[in-house]
Amino acid sequence: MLLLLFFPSLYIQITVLSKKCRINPPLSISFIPKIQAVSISVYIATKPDWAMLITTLLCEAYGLDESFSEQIYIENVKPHFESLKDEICLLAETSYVDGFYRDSYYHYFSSKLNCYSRDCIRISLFDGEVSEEDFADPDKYDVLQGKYRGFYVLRPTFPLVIGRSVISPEALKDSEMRLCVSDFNTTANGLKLRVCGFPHSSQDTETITCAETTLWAIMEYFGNKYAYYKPVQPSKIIKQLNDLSYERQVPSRGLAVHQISYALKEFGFGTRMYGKDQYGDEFERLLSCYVESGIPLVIAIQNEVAGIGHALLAVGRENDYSTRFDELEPCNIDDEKCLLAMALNDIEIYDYDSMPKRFVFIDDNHPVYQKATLAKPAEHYPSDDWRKCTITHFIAPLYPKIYLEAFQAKKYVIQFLLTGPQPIREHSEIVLRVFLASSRSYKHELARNNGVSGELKNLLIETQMSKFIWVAEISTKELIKAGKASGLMIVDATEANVYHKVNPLIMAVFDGNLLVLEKSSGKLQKKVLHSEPFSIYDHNLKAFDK
Amino acid sequence: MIKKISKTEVINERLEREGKVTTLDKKEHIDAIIAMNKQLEAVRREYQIKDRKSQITAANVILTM
Repeated sequence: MLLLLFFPSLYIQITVLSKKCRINPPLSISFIPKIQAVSISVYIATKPDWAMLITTLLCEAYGLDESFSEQIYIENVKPHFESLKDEICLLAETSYVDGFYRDSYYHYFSSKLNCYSRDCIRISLFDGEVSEEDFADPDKYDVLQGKYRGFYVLRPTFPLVIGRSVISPEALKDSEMRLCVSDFNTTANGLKLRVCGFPHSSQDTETITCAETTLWAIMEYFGNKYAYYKPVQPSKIIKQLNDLSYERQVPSRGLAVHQISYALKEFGFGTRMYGKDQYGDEFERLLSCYVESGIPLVIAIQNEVAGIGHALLAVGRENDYSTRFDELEPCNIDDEKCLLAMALNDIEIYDYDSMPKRFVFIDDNHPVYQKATLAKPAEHYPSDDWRKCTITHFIAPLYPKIYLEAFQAKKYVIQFLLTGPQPIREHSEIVLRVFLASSRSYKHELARNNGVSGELKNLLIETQMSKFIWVAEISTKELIKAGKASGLMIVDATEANVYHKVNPLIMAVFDGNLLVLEKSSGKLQKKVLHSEPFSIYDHNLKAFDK
Repeated sequence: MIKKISKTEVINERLEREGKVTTLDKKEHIDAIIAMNKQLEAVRREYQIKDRKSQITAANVILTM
């Protein structure tokens, strides 16, 4: 009641909804061994009342005292809310059963002496005000779906209360980004709704640290997006790593990078690990190539001196950097024959992945969708020790039948263009954009893309391709600024044998020629084919504007 | 009535008729492919070493925070 004295507007809001709202009994009597129906209390609050809403809910649902509730709000919830647009309206529901938290509860928290609540609070986000009447009116359902921007779960693992969440970038003040996203079905106040985003959760430091959270988020994303994968709960992650552990795993003390890779392999991926020290200059370009391919990556960052090791996810990049393509530096090529070919034929190659840009990270210590460069992946941390962290490794969770990975695929493309049987024309200055795509999605977009002219479009769509393909788009600095390419190579991602004939090549189109393997003889054929510049494929990541 | 709507065969036949198809099987082409394959075999070895070393170092980076 004291809180309501300071925030009278929330009192009015709650009073308006009084028929619906019922606060749970105080925690001290919630464990009386008697079966009783618990009603869900529902609240709506606009920005001025967000603080009041959360502190009131924490006090009343979990019996916390006011000062602790306020502290939790300020330190652990408010930073998340600060990234939201001012127009966002919150709808809070108590007694929410969250599968992710319940798994931790039954496998760990319930075995403690201290009493932890089983239930969570769910905060749904709407873009613009919503009212009690909107939910009662069937005609307003589409309007509510249009305004729905995702949800946070608040779990009783104090003070780290932010649990499973899926937030649409459209809910943020800064939504200018391209991301790997999936649709998630959920409910709010009884209505089934859908949100498009990437899953996020803070760690509870006992059952899930950063390593387990990244594993969970990756599986939650892939499990919702593709039928081939299944989402996993923390207990399943712990069980999966049992064979690789010599000690008990809970309370968690984190995981080594190779354990994360092992778990992902066990969950059905054909994982590949890349170390910064091993790949040197190539490392960041490979990372960028996979992100451009729409594959969320597990990123390991470390400041060894300060004893910091942290896992986060790279799930996208800033939206548009087309104006900065003049800054692109020529690609460092270490192969002598390629260098000779470039010098003799006056060819300059630029790698699209060299473009300096900010990536979008999912970091369980911070609000969702943090932007940072690869050189300073922890630049959003307040402490110097954290800001000095650098990326040591990344893990690419690939579809298990992608046998040709990025390092070899990119080298193959460059070798073919420079030293192959039909090298690229002299005096060329090309920008190479190499990425993975599913042939289904690639053909789908080609079929819809007006930029690709008639015959090439037919040939591409009617060419038999592997489920996943490496696509190398050949462009120039000027063309790429306009989002166009003038040539391409399509490489079979299921063919790891790159050193026999022209094995992985499916087709190549550049300099007015089409190169294909003649099926019966296995010989490479050159066909003169005119093609106009076409739009680059940018459907691996979903674009969000400001 | 059945109508074949795929165009690849028609396009290929036209290109063949117009003399726009060349098989890249001359000595210079074969030599280029052999040289390229040798380079790519070196790339494969380089990758295998980098990959194995990445696995070894990955075991020493503990992610706890």
